Amino acid sequence: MKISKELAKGSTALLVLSVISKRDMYGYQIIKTIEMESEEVFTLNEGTLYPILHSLEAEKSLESYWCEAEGRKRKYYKITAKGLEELAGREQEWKTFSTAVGKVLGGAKLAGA
Amino acid sequence: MQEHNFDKILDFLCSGIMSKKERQNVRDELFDHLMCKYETNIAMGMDDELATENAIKDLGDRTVIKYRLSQVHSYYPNLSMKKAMNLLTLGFCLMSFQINIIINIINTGEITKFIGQIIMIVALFCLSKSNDKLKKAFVFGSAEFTLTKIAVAITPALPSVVFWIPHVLYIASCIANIVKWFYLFYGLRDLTAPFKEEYKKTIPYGFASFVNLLSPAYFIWLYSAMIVSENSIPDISEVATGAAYIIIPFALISIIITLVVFVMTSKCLWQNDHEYQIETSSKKKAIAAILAVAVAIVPMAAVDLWISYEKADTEVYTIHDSDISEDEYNRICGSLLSYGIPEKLVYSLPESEILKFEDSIPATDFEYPKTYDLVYSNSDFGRYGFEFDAYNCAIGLKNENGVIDSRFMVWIEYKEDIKGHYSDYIQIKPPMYNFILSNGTEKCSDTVLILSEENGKIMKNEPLETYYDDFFDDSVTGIRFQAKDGMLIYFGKNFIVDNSKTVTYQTVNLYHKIFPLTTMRNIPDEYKDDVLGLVSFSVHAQQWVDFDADWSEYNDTLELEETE
Repeated sequence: MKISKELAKGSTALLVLSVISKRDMYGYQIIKTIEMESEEVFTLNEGTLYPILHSLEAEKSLESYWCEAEGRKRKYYKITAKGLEELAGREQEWKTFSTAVGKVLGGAKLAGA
Repeated sequence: MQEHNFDKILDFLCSGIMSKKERQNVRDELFDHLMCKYETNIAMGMDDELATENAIKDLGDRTVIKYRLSQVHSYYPNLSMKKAMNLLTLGFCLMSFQINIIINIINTGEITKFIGQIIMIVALFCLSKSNDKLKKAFVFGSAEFTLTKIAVAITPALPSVVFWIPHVLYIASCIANIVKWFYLFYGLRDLTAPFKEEYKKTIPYGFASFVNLLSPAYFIWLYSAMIVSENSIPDISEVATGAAYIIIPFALISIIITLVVFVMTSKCLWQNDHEYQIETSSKKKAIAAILAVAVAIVPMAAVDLWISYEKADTEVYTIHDSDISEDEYNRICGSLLSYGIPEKLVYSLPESEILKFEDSIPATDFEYPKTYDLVYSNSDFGRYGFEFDAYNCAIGLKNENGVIDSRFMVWIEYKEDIKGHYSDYIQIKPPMYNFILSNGTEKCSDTVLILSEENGKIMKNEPLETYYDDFFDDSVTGIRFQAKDGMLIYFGKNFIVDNSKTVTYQTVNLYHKIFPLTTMRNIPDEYKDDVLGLVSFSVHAQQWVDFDADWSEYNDTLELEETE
């Protein structure tokens, strides 16, 4: 099941920070990891991913370095201390949000029952 | 080989990134991405062509990717809404309230205005991504600024027959100005519209658009009138001054309303958490943009200076210009020196210059009973806190046959070292442009000389154009000339009797401003007898010389040596 763009919009940076926090990754790998870990619920496209990666890098939440792989240059992203803080904040935000949504939905279900 | 296949798409995707280095980095990164996809596709059994095609296809909407990448890697100010609104307000304040701090050195008011204009353009650019109307406001704001500067820049180089071109550009800039305000206010209105209910207060966007229309409309009318009347300055300035009294209150109202609208808009957006999307750090980019503007101005200023010096038609004044023998000149200077006036402050002005203008009288047309007469008048007027004292002397010379065949005038600049008098004149600073000299509704009927001082030498400058009054007495109503550093203007209406007329000036650009110094005239026929009767000179007298006065009171102040 695919999630609507509107719903996914606010959580993209959180997902990206989260997967990079586990290990350094490059763009294509990030897309594939999110796709796999979410069981294909989230499919990021390039137009969304790279601007987010570059913004997070500009905000110093991520750092990058280049490696040689398969005969070409590959850019890896690494989370910074600031990025970890950002991730923690966003995670907390998400938990509050999802708990509140859950409560409302649970309440509605209860009322309907 | 694959890189070649992805070249086109990579070029397109990265084309919005301004920095070459960043563009290459993003290109390398996306290339790796496309290659990963391509290799996956090949592994899935696709042929080379299909694998390439699908890798590109999977990217999605390429225009969107290009736009987003250009946003992230933009090198222009991408300020938050609040900062942009504050910048807009600051720029507007600087533009509207021009502060003259060191008025006698440089025209700081104009510089303040200039800085304000640039800040406003930067602010409009920051806002331009918010909606289409604000984007148009930025476009028209930039157009207004550019048109004005082009008009200023080309003015010195234009022949008089096409005097109207800058005026047309000014009119176009005024129209752009009106459109800019319209789009700005309605663009801001669109931004605040979603919060109308919450904000409660009504922001007067419509009224602000209307009052901001009046001032440019006045200038459109003024420049149109100048074109139609072929730059007839006194006529225009008289009418324009009248209209200006009406427009000034409106201008003040428009400034107040505009500020109110800016503050209310900012408050409304801020209170409702409307924050402009910030995707990258903004400060560096704002500084980069301002520096870029500054760098762009440097060549403009250089061209300006070049035009200024190239156009100036000057040569050194010598004693030979004055139709006076060196001995005679020295003798006069010696007499003046005995009264504390050193020779370096005595400049002789040649009859050849004087005779170029209407109402000038050839020296041979009148005679003096004495070898020379020194006629004195004193100018003493203050402008902007500066006081100026100068003495004008007209000297006639008799030839060997007892006939006056030449005359010259002496301008004596009073300085601190002369008997404690203080005097100074304002020097204009480069870059400079031609500008129209006019004395408002008064008519300058004859002598107009333009002098400049370069390396301690007095230079004469040819007027580029002289304007005459076609309806009355063909008197000189204005001159157009190349302004130069240290330039002095000699200008007059009626010799001695009315030499206090100051020259009004019109600046057409930023830095130059000139103040009138003194008047310099030859002797009209009707005053000939009076002049001849006056042989007095005083460095102390402060009252205006009046031909109706009893001249005897001056007779004992200075008796110049007579040769007969």
